[in-house]
Parts: sequence; C-alpha cells; structure tokens
Amino acid sequence: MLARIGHELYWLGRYVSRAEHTARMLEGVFAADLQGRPDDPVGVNLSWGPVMAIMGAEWDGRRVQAGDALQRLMLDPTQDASVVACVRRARESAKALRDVVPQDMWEAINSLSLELLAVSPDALLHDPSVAFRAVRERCTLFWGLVGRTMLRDEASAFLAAGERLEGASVLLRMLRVVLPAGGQRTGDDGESDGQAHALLRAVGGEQAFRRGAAGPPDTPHVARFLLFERDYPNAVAAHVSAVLEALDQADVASRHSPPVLRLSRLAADLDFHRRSLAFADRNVLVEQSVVVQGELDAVDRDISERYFSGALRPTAFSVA
Amino acid sequence: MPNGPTLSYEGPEGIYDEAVTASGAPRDHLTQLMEAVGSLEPEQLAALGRRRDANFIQAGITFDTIGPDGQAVDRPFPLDLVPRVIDADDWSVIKRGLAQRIRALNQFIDDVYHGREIVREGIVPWRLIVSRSHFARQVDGVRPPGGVYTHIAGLDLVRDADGTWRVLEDNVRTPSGISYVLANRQAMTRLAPRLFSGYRVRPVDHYPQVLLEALRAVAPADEGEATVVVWTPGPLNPAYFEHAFLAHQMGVELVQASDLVVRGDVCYMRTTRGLERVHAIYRRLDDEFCDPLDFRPDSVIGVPGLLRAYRAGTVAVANAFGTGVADDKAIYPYVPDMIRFYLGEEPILQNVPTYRMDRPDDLAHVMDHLDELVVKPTSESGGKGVVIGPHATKAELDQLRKDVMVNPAKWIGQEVVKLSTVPTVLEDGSLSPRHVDLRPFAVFGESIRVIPGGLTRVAMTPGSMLVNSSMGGGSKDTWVLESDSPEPDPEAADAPAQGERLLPSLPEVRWDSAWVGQSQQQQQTRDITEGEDV
Repeated sequence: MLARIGHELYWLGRYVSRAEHTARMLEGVFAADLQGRPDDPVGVNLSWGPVMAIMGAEWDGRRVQAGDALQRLMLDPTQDASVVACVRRARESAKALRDVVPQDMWEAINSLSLELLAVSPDALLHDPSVAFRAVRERCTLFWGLVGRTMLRDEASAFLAAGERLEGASVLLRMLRVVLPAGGQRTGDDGESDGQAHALLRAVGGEQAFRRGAAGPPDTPHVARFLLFERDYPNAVAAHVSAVLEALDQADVASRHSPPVLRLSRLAADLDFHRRSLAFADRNVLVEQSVVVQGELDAVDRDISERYFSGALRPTAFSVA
Repeated sequence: MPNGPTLSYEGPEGIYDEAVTASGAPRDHLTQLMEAVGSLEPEQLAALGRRRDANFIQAGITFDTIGPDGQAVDRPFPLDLVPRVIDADDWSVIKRGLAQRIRALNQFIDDVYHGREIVREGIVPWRLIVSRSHFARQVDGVRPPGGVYTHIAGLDLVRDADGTWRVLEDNVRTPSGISYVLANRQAMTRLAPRLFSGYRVRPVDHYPQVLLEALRAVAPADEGEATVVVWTPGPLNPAYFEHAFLAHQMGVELVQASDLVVRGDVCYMRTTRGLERVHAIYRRLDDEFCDPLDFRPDSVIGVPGLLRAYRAGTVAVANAFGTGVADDKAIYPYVPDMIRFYLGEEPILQNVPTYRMDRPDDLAHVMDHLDELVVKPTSESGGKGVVIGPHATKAELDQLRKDVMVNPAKWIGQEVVKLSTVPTVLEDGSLSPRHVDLRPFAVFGESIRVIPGGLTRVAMTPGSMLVNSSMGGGSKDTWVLESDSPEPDPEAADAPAQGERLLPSLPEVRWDSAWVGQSQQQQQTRDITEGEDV
C-alpha cells in the first residue's frame, strides 16, 4: 500500500475517534454540570475551562460558560479541536480514499458532516443532546461498518491503529486534568473525586466500573481503572493492546518494527503496573500517565517513520 | 417503414449519413436498430435521458464545462442514446490501418532518436523534426524497454463525403477518453438493453486488462510480476476520474509525484512497507513536467531523477518520452511516406489532404483559398487555434493571414472534411443528424491491440463540426459488430498478421548494440552495489 494512502487512513481513524470522544465527553460534562454545584465539594463536577484545555481548545484560564464552551467545542470550525473541524477533515480524508474505503463508510461520514452543518448555535444550547446523539450514532455506525464491510488488510489495520491511539491519547489528557499534580491539593479530595466520577461518566464507563472494579469511585480507583483495566475497551491499556495488534498485523516484519516493539513493552508495563500500583496514590498515577503519554507520542513518531516515510502529522492536528 | 414508427429520421443533403442511404432507407446493418429506436415515443427517449443524467451524476462521471455565466459547471458526461454502429468489414479496415500507422509512428520515433535514416533518405527534413516543441533531445539515443514508444495511441478518424475513413490527427502522447468508452457502454447496457437485441456487439470492457498486460510486457522486471502504477498529476486534473478509474480497474496503485522516488538509477514508490521497486509507469502528464532535473526545472509535479532511471532502462514509461514529435501536426503530412519507408506497405487509412506551408506552392494555394480550408497551428493539441475557413468571419481570416505569413512553417492547411452524420436524440426526444468523429484506442505491448469501437464524439449544434467536449460536444456508445462469416478468434484478428511483429521489424544491429548493452551495464552496476552492501 502507498505510504500516502496509509497515512490518510491513519488520520481518518484519528479524526473520527477524536470527534467521537470529544462529543462523548461534552455530553458527560454537560450532564454533570446540570446536577453539580460549584460549592459542593462532593458534587460531581468538571468545570468547562479545564475541559477546553484538555481538548486543546484555546483557554485563557478564566471561567467559561457552558454555552460558550459547547459552542466552541462542537460547532466552531476555526477551532482545530472542535467536533465540526474533526468531522470536516475526516470527510476530506474519506473523500481522498473513496476507492479504498467502502461506499457506506464514506456516506456515514458525509451524512454526519451534513447533519452537523445543519445544527444552529441556538438549537445546540436549547437541546445539545440532538447533536451529541448524531455524532455518537454516526461514529458508531462508521466503526461498525469498518468491522462489517472492510477487508481485514493493511488498510483496516491503519484505520484501527489511528482510532485506538487517539482514544488512548484523549483519555490520558483527561486523566491528567482530573488527577491534580503535586501535594498542595491534599485535603481537597472531595473535589477531585467528584471530577473523577464525572470523567467516568463522560467516557461512558460508569456501569463498567461498578461491575468490574473493586472500590469506591474515588480518584485513585477511577484512574487505575481507566489506565490499566484491559477488559474495559475504553481504558488506556486496552487501546494500547489494540494499536499493537493492528500494527502487528499490518507489518510484514513486526519483530523488527520500532513502533511494535515499543508498544509491546508499553502493554507489558501497563499490565505489570495494574498490580504493582494497586494501592498507589494519585501522584504516582499522574507520573504514570505522563510516562504513558510520552511513550504514545514516541509511538506516533515511530509509526510515521516506519510506515509513512516520515510524513508529518497534519498541521491542524497539533494538540500538545 | 414497418409498424409505423413514431420517430422519423432523414439524413442531411450531400453528406454521408451512417444510418440511412441517400434515398432515405436504413443501411443494412442498421435496419433493426432504427426500428427499435423508431418504435420509441419521444417522451420515452427524453425520460431515458433524464435517468441517464441522474445515474452519471450519482456515479461522479461528469465533465467540467464553462456555463453561460462564465463559471465552470459540472455536468453529466453527455452520452447520446442512439449508438453508432460500425460493421465488421469497416472495422477490419480501421483496425489494420491503425495498427499499420502506429507501427510506422513507433518506428519513426525510434529512428528520430537513433539512426535518422528517414532524414538521410530525404523524406522528412531534420530541421522540421528538431524544431518541434515536443522533440526531446534529453532522450536522444535512449531506447525504452521493449523498443515500444507508443504504448497507448488514440487516433482521430473521420468519414468524408463518400464514407471513406480518414485519419484527421495522430495522438501518441497521453490520449484520454477511454474511461468514457467503458462508462458509455455500461450505461447503455443498463438504460437501453432492448437496443442490443439482434446485434452481436464486440465488448470493450477488457481494455484495462489489455493495458495492464501491455505494460507488464514492456516492464523490465528481472523476476516475478512487474509492478505497474498509474501516475496522475493530482485530483485537480480534469481527467482525474479517468486516472482513478483505470488504476482501479487494473488493480494497480494510483500514484502522485510525492509517492515516487528515484534512488540510484532505480525508481521506487513509497509504501507502508518501505520503498518498493516500480517497473512500469503509465503516466498521465506531459514530458516537460515529468522530471525537474531534465525537463522544466520549475515543475513541482515531477519526480527528480526519473529520466536517469529511464535512461538506465530500469523503468518503462508509457508513453515513452519524446513521442510528441510524432503526433505533431507538421509531421502528420509525412506519415503516409513513413509507412511506405519503414514498412514497405501502402497506407490503409489515408490522410485528409494537407498542405505543407513551408512549400511555396502550397502556401500560395492556401492563401488563395483561406475561406475554403481549415488552418491549424502545429505543436498544439486538440482544437487550439484551429480556424475553419467556411465558418470564419472576414476579420478572423485577415488576422489568420497575418499570423501565417509571419512564420508559415508553423501552420498547416487542410481540406475541409464534411464529417459524416449519425442520428442523435434532441432534448425534446426527436432525432436529428449530427456530425461525428471517432477516436479508437490502440495498446502496444508485445503486439498492437485495438479496442473495438472507441470514443465517438458528437457535435451537438446543428451543422457544427466541433466535436470537442469542451466545445459542448457529446459522445455516443460505439458498437463494432461481430462479422457474420465464421472467424476463429476475434482477438486474434487484433494481433498482428504476418510481418507485423515488432521485434524482427527493428534492425538486428540496432537491437543489440544500444539496448542490450545498457541492460548489461545495468546488471553490472547492480552487482557491484550489492557487493558493497554485503
């Protein structure tokens, strides 16, 4: 397969995944925001400013109104991190790949793009669930079509690698905001526990957590669950294993492939820490998510070097 | 006519009509078709037309054209619903004529860049050849793998007033339009399957396979299957649809310049598994943009070093570099002589009578009859700058006279051919005669194979002879009928008859000296490099 085509597929996966995660998180935060009160220490809460920072939108540190944040993260085409911008770039990629991806997948992206264009700012404020649902359903449809109609070859492997890498990266960024760094926040556990709970809701893992994890939904438990629980598909460890699997399949000489080697080491590390850090406090977990994030960035560079002949990431996609 | 057809059709006066004779009766091989078309109501035809447009837009088979407001608009590729039919006897003449002409052109290109025997014989002046803008001194002395230059040729044919087929133009650089031939046939089988009843139409959909075989045949692959790619300038090219279509149909990669890279003397493409050797490139851009090192240095859509790889014989490029010298309009008048010189045969297809303006007699004649002739600039392709005398205004003719006198050698004059007509559906569903030409496509690999039929272009304006798509021309599905006499294998007829084989036709001495020498040298260099690696 041409490196250019592989690169395009990889980024198509990342764009769709980014749009989906952004919308899901906004939906979770929005729901939490309605119930929580800022002065309630045990309330379920994640303020909008940090959310914008997580997603790579511009935030100057001041308090942000819900409507404003929604508007900018969903519908503002000038914000590179907004859902609408991701979908638009996914559509461009899909268009360039029309003879590689099945027609249905192109249609799923194209209709999502049209539906988002039809959402007005007023309608979004009035009832954001319509837009959230559109994104969620179309993206789910897209991935479902990948699973049902696409040949299991290099093309689908690169698409999956992009999807899962982006999933892990979004999750890590969210964790780093939820887990406050340093010791100065001790004694303020209530607030960050509330945030952790909101995060759990935002990634749609509340039920899985209740069933799968032993422990209360406080920050360390939630963070450990989202970092290390391989059985939960939206945990970092599961994403890492999925990227590894996809690349392993796409690469003819995977034993000599730097990204594959790096990923298998990372997967093993995560599996190890699942037990070794069973009682770790948040500082250790913060450190851990920084390390994993750094490794994933290195994987991204390795992938570009090995498969895409060093093609750069699109400039529009430069979230630190 | 039987059954009282609802649609009537009459051919024009004094012009050869392909459907009806001068007395108004349908020609033998067209009786059934004319009955089938005639039994349709005009509304039915118009409805079919709407379905066709909707299908084409959905499938993305469109053509950019300039609308009345000056803006470029995307409209469905215009396909006329009445097919054009060519009977087996006519086709056999066309096919043999094309193969003959293409062999001669291929020999001519080889000769121009090597021995120049035709110049020494005084048949074509050297001054004329080197002054052609498409003459490529960069490839002087280079013989491409397999000795084939004109892998894909599309010659424009017309029928004159007595129905004789003539060659209007040669096109051996990057002729386009084949995808429309295939798309038209597919659309016709879906839209109007009933028209096909009673006819045995020769299929065209094997073209991509024929092309792929030909490219593989000339690819200098050492072992295993050759890697073939289609090289497009990019998605903004007007013919991008065709490039993508062909790549898809052949099952090969569609590459852009950034995908290709030359290392040493070998061309590779960048894949997800590293660099992969490319053996044959079907390129869809002009010589001058292909390699910024040897041709235009400002080309950003070229591959640096490609010509070096080509010279080394490690990659086949179709069509070869420098072929443009053969389809120049100033070379066209010499083609019949080329056929006699290289092949020792009489041309099967005649040229349109042409005046060479570098001869004083011809020039004087053209100047005296400017309003009766067609005058074309050389070194241009398609309809650019062509002036049709009988249709031009006085001011245009005066301007032309001035332009020609500045440098007569840059122009040629031709007799006006009254293009034949074919019944064509108008917007209201009625039938009317319209002028057509034909561009058949030939593929030259191990042998020359001509795809039955070709692209028939129709001038949609009454009486107009401008068939170019950009000038609002339409197209027709072109049917070549199987012959009634039992023929063992129709494909075999496309293969060259005795004496038409390529390899022996190249003189032995030329064959081994340059080409084999190059490949041996190449082999040695490779051995050395491999040794160093170890």
